[in-house]
Amino acid sequence: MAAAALREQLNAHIASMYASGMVDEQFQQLQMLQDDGSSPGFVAEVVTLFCDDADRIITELSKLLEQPTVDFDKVDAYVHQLKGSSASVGAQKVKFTCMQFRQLCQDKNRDG
Amino acid sequence: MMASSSARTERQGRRRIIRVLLVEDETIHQNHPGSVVITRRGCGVMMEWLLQVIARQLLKAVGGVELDVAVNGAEAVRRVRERGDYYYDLILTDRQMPVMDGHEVCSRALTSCSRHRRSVQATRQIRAMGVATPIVGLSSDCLAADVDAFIDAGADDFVPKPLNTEKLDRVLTKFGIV
Repeated sequence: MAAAALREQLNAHIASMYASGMVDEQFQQLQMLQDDGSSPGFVAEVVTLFCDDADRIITELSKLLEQPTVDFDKVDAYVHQLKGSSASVGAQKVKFTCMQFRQLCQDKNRDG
Repeated sequence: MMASSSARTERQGRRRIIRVLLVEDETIHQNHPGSVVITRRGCGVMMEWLLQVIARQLLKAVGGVELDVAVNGAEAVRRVRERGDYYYDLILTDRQMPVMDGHEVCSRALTSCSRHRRSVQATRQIRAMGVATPIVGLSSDCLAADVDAFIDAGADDFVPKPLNTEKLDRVLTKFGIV
Protein backbone atom coordinates (compact mmCIF):
# COMPACT_ATOMS: atom_id res chain seq x y z
CA MET A 1 0.00 0.00 0.00
CA ALA A 2 2.79 2.38 0.94
CA ALA A 3 4.69 1.48 -2.20
CA ALA A 4 1.60 2.16 -4.31
CA ALA A 5 1.13 5.56 -2.67
CA LEU A 6 4.77 6.44 -3.26
CA ARG A 7 4.51 5.31 -6.86
CA GLU A 8 1.45 7.53 -7.31
CA GLN A 9 3.29 10.46 -5.76
CA LEU A 10 6.26 9.91 -8.03
CA ASN A 11 4.08 9.69 -11.14
CA ALA A 12 2.31 12.91 -10.18
CA HIS A 13 5.64 14.65 -9.70
CA ILE A 14 6.92 13.44 -13.06
CA ALA A 15 3.67 14.53 -14.72
CA SER A 16 4.10 18.02 -13.28
CA MET A 17 7.69 18.13 -14.59
CA TYR A 18 6.40 17.42 -18.09
CA ALA A 19 3.56 19.92 -17.71
CA SER A 20 5.92 22.70 -16.57
CA GLY A 21 8.38 22.01 -19.38
CA MET A 22 11.09 20.96 -16.99
CA VAL A 23 11.60 17.70 -18.92
CA ASP A 24 10.90 16.76 -22.53
CA GLU A 25 10.46 13.68 -24.70
CA GLN A 26 14.09 12.66 -24.17
CA PHE A 27 13.27 12.00 -20.48
CA GLN A 28 10.39 9.88 -21.70
CA GLN A 29 12.91 7.94 -23.81
CA LEU A 30 14.93 7.22 -20.68
CA GLN A 31 11.82 6.07 -18.84
CA MET A 32 10.94 3.76 -21.71
CA LEU A 33 14.46 2.31 -21.72
CA GLN A 34 14.01 1.49 -18.03
CA ASP A 35 10.50 0.17 -18.35
CA ASP A 36 11.47 -3.04 -20.12
CA GLY A 37 12.29 -4.30 -16.65
CA SER A 38 15.93 -5.26 -17.14
CA SER A 39 17.41 -2.03 -15.75
CA PRO A 40 15.24 -0.81 -12.87
CA GLY A 41 17.76 1.81 -11.71
CA PHE A 42 18.59 3.25 -15.13
CA VAL A 43 16.77 6.57 -14.83
CA ALA A 44 18.09 7.15 -11.31
CA GLU A 45 21.63 6.38 -12.50
CA VAL A 46 21.40 8.81 -15.41
CA VAL A 47 19.81 11.58 -13.37
CA THR A 48 22.42 11.17 -10.62
CA LEU A 49 25.26 11.36 -13.16
CA PHE A 50 23.72 14.47 -14.68
CA CYS A 51 23.14 16.22 -11.35
CA ASP A 52 26.69 15.47 -10.16
CA ASP A 53 28.19 16.85 -13.33
CA ALA A 54 25.86 19.85 -13.45
CA ASP A 55 26.86 20.68 -9.90
CA ARG A 56 30.53 20.56 -10.86
CA ILE A 57 30.02 22.68 -13.95
CA ILE A 58 28.00 25.32 -12.09
CA THR A 59 30.74 25.55 -9.48
CA GLU A 60 33.33 26.11 -12.21
CA LEU A 61 31.09 28.68 -13.92
CA SER A 62 30.70 30.60 -10.67
CA LYS A 63 34.47 30.77 -10.27
CA LEU A 64 34.96 31.95 -13.84
CA LEU A 65 32.27 34.60 -13.61
CA GLU A 66 33.76 36.01 -10.41
CA GLN A 67 37.03 36.82 -12.15
CA PRO A 68 37.75 40.50 -12.90
CA THR A 69 38.15 39.55 -16.55
CA VAL A 70 35.80 36.78 -17.61
CA ASP A 71 37.15 34.15 -19.99
CA PHE A 72 34.02 33.75 -22.07
CA ASP A 73 35.54 30.96 -24.15
CA LYS A 74 35.95 28.80 -21.05
CA VAL A 75 32.50 29.75 -19.79
CA ASP A 76 31.04 28.85 -23.17
CA ALA A 77 32.86 25.51 -23.20
CA TYR A 78 31.37 24.55 -19.83
CA VAL A 79 27.90 25.71 -20.80
CA HIS A 80 28.20 23.77 -24.05
CA GLN A 81 28.97 20.65 -22.06
CA LEU A 82 26.02 21.23 -19.74
CA LYS A 83 23.75 21.84 -22.70
CA GLY A 84 24.75 18.53 -24.25
CA SER A 85 24.23 16.50 -21.11
CA SER A 86 20.95 18.25 -20.22
CA ALA A 87 19.66 17.46 -23.72
CA SER A 88 20.72 13.84 -23.28
CA VAL A 89 18.65 13.43 -20.10
CA GLY A 90 15.71 15.50 -21.26
CA ALA A 91 16.27 18.38 -18.82
CA GLN A 92 14.57 20.82 -21.18
CA LYS A 93 14.60 23.95 -19.02
CA VAL A 94 18.29 23.52 -18.28
CA LYS A 95 18.97 23.02 -21.98
CA PHE A 96 17.07 26.18 -22.97
CA THR A 97 18.81 28.16 -20.24
CA CYS A 98 22.17 26.96 -21.55
CA MET A 99 21.22 28.12 -25.04
CA GLN A 100 20.44 31.59 -23.69
CA PHE A 101 23.62 31.52 -21.62
CA ARG A 102 25.69 30.71 -24.70
CA GLN A 103 24.23 33.68 -26.54
CA LEU A 104 25.28 35.89 -23.64
CA CYS A 105 28.76 34.41 -23.90
CA GLN A 106 28.81 35.22 -27.59
CA ASP A 107 27.84 38.79 -26.69
CA LYS A 108 30.38 38.82 -23.85
CA ASN A 109 27.62 39.94 -21.52
CA ARG A 110 28.54 39.04 -17.93
CA ASP A 111 25.67 40.98 -16.41
CA GLY A 112 23.17 39.04 -18.54
CA MET B 1 6.17 -4.74 -22.97
CA MET B 2 5.78 -8.49 -23.51
CA ALA B 3 5.39 -7.95 -27.26
CA SER B 4 8.52 -5.80 -27.55
CA SER B 5 10.51 -8.25 -25.44
CA SER B 6 9.55 -11.22 -27.62
CA ALA B 7 10.19 -9.21 -30.77
CA ARG B 8 13.67 -8.46 -29.48
CA THR B 9 14.27 -12.12 -28.66
CA GLU B 10 13.15 -13.12 -32.13
CA ARG B 11 15.46 -10.53 -33.65
CA GLN B 12 18.35 -11.77 -31.58
CA GLY B 13 17.67 -15.34 -32.60
CA ARG B 14 18.06 -14.66 -36.28
CA ARG B 15 20.89 -12.11 -36.17
CA ARG B 16 24.57 -12.23 -35.37
CA ILE B 17 26.17 -10.05 -32.71
CA ILE B 18 26.43 -6.37 -33.69
CA ARG B 19 29.66 -4.66 -32.64
CA VAL B 20 29.60 -0.93 -32.09
CA LEU B 21 32.59 1.29 -31.25
CA LEU B 22 31.69 4.43 -29.30
CA VAL B 23 34.37 7.13 -29.53
CA GLU B 24 34.18 9.61 -26.67
CA ASP B 25 35.38 13.18 -26.42
CA GLU B 26 38.58 13.10 -24.38
CA THR B 27 37.81 16.50 -22.89
CA ILE B 28 35.04 14.85 -20.89
CA HIS B 29 37.69 12.72 -19.25
CA GLN B 30 39.95 15.70 -18.69
CA ASN B 31 37.11 17.49 -16.93
CA HIS B 32 36.45 14.53 -14.66
CA PRO B 33 39.77 13.62 -13.10
CA GLY B 34 39.77 10.64 -10.85
CA SER B 35 36.52 9.19 -12.15
CA VAL B 36 37.07 5.65 -13.27
CA VAL B 37 35.17 2.62 -14.33
CA ILE B 38 36.22 -0.59 -16.00
CA THR B 39 34.81 -0.94 -19.48
CA ARG B 40 32.85 -3.92 -20.64
CA ARG B 41 35.94 -5.64 -22.01
CA GLY B 42 38.26 -4.48 -19.25
CA CYS B 43 40.22 -2.50 -21.82
CA GLY B 44 41.70 0.38 -19.95
CA VAL B 45 40.19 2.58 -17.30
CA MET B 46 37.92 5.42 -18.28
CA MET B 47 34.95 7.34 -17.08
CA GLU B 48 31.55 6.09 -18.03
CA TRP B 49 29.70 9.26 -18.90
CA LEU B 50 26.14 10.03 -19.78
CA LEU B 51 26.37 9.26 -23.49
CA GLN B 52 28.04 5.94 -22.82
CA VAL B 53 25.44 5.01 -20.18
CA ILE B 54 22.58 6.05 -22.44
CA ALA B 55 24.17 4.50 -25.55
CA ARG B 56 24.65 1.21 -23.71
CA GLN B 57 20.98 1.18 -22.70
CA LEU B 58 19.78 2.11 -26.18
CA LEU B 59 21.94 -0.58 -27.79
CA LYS B 60 20.85 -3.08 -25.14
CA ALA B 61 17.27 -2.38 -26.14
CA VAL B 62 18.20 -3.17 -29.74
CA GLY B 63 19.49 -6.51 -28.54
CA GLY B 64 22.51 -8.55 -29.54
CA VAL B 65 24.97 -5.66 -29.42
CA GLU B 66 28.50 -5.53 -28.03
CA LEU B 67 29.74 -2.04 -27.20
CA ASP B 68 33.41 -1.03 -27.16
CA VAL B 69 34.43 2.41 -25.96
CA ALA B 70 37.45 4.46 -27.08
CA VAL B 71 38.32 7.48 -24.97
CA ASN B 72 39.44 9.52 -27.97
CA GLY B 73 40.03 9.42 -31.70
CA ALA B 74 43.57 8.09 -31.43
CA GLU B 75 42.41 5.12 -29.39
CA ALA B 76 39.60 4.54 -31.87
CA VAL B 77 42.12 4.38 -34.72
CA ARG B 78 44.24 1.95 -32.72
CA ARG B 79 41.29 -0.33 -31.98
CA VAL B 80 40.12 -0.35 -35.59
CA ARG B 81 43.66 -1.07 -36.79
CA GLU B 82 43.99 -3.96 -34.35
CA ARG B 83 40.56 -5.44 -35.07
CA GLY B 84 40.46 -5.03 -38.84
CA ASP B 85 37.90 -3.69 -41.25
CA TYR B 86 34.97 -5.98 -40.63
CA TYR B 87 35.08 -6.27 -36.86
CA TYR B 88 32.92 -3.23 -36.02
CA ASP B 89 29.55 -2.80 -37.64
CA LEU B 90 29.26 0.85 -36.63
CA ILE B 91 31.45 3.60 -35.19
CA LEU B 92 29.66 6.31 -33.23
CA THR B 93 31.80 9.31 -32.41
CA ASP B 94 30.76 11.78 -29.73
CA ARG B 95 31.92 15.23 -30.57
CA GLN B 96 31.77 18.27 -28.33
CA MET B 97 32.26 20.41 -31.39
CA PRO B 98 33.41 23.99 -31.01
CA VAL B 99 31.02 26.76 -31.84
CA MET B 100 32.24 28.33 -35.01
CA ASP B 101 30.25 30.85 -36.95
CA GLY B 102 31.40 32.79 -39.94
CA HIS B 103 32.67 35.67 -37.86
CA GLU B 104 34.69 33.84 -35.26
CA VAL B 105 38.37 33.35 -35.68
CA CYS B 106 39.37 29.76 -35.07
CA SER B 107 42.47 30.80 -33.12
CA ARG B 108 40.19 32.25 -30.44
CA ALA B 109 39.30 28.69 -29.41
CA LEU B 110 42.49 26.88 -30.37
CA THR B 111 41.92 24.06 -27.93
CA SER B 112 38.40 23.39 -29.26
CA CYS B 113 39.59 23.66 -32.85
CA SER B 114 42.40 21.21 -32.22
CA ARG B 115 39.97 18.71 -30.64
CA HIS B 116 37.69 19.07 -33.61
CA ARG B 117 40.63 18.59 -35.97
CA ARG B 118 41.67 15.45 -34.09
CA SER B 119 38.17 14.07 -34.48
CA VAL B 120 38.23 14.71 -38.21
CA GLN B 121 41.79 13.36 -38.41
CA ALA B 122 40.77 10.12 -36.72
CA THR B 123 38.00 9.66 -39.27
CA ARG B 124 40.44 10.32 -42.11
CA GLN B 125 42.93 7.84 -40.67
CA ILE B 126 40.31 5.15 -40.35
CA ARG B 127 39.26 5.69 -43.96
CA ALA B 128 42.88 5.77 -45.10
CA MET B 129 43.28 2.27 -43.65
CA GLY B 130 40.62 1.15 -46.09
CA VAL B 131 38.08 0.57 -43.36
CA ALA B 132 34.58 0.88 -44.70
CA THR B 133 32.73 0.64 -41.37
CA PRO B 134 30.00 3.28 -41.20
CA ILE B 135 31.10 6.25 -39.07
CA VAL B 136 28.38 8.43 -37.56
CA GLY B 137 29.06 11.63 -35.64
CA LEU B 138 27.07 12.76 -32.62
CA SER B 139 27.11 16.31 -31.36
CA SER B 140 24.87 18.85 -29.70
CA ASP B 141 26.14 21.50 -32.10
CA CYS B 142 25.18 21.03 -35.72
CA LEU B 143 26.72 23.95 -37.54
CA ALA B 144 26.93 23.23 -41.26
CA ALA B 145 30.66 23.93 -41.39
CA ASP B 146 31.38 21.40 -38.63
CA VAL B 147 29.13 18.76 -40.17
CA ASP B 148 30.60 19.30 -43.64
CA ALA B 149 34.15 18.93 -42.35
CA PHE B 150 33.23 15.68 -40.67
CA ILE B 151 31.49 14.28 -43.75
CA ASP B 152 34.32 15.44 -46.03
CA ALA B 153 36.75 13.50 -43.84
CA GLY B 154 34.84 10.31 -44.57
CA ALA B 155 32.05 10.11 -42.02
CA ASP B 156 28.84 8.65 -43.37
CA ASP B 157 26.23 10.47 -41.34
CA PHE B 158 25.72 12.95 -38.57
CA VAL B 159 23.17 12.75 -35.77
CA PRO B 160 22.36 15.71 -33.54
CA LYS B 161 22.17 14.90 -29.85
CA PRO B 162 20.39 13.69 -27.89
CA LEU B 163 20.70 10.11 -29.07
CA ASN B 164 17.41 8.26 -28.80
CA THR B 165 15.73 5.09 -30.00
CA GLU B 166 14.37 6.65 -33.16
CA LYS B 167 17.70 8.13 -34.26
CA LEU B 168 19.60 4.95 -33.44
CA ASP B 169 17.06 2.82 -35.34
CA ARG B 170 17.39 5.13 -38.34
CA VAL B 171 21.17 4.78 -38.32
CA LEU B 172 21.11 1.00 -37.90
CA THR B 173 18.53 0.64 -40.67
CA LYS B 174 20.27 3.07 -43.01
CA PHE B 175 23.48 1.04 -42.94
CA GLY B 176 21.74 -2.32 -43.04
CA ILE B 177 22.98 -3.29 -39.60
CA VAL B 178 19.54 -4.50 -38.51
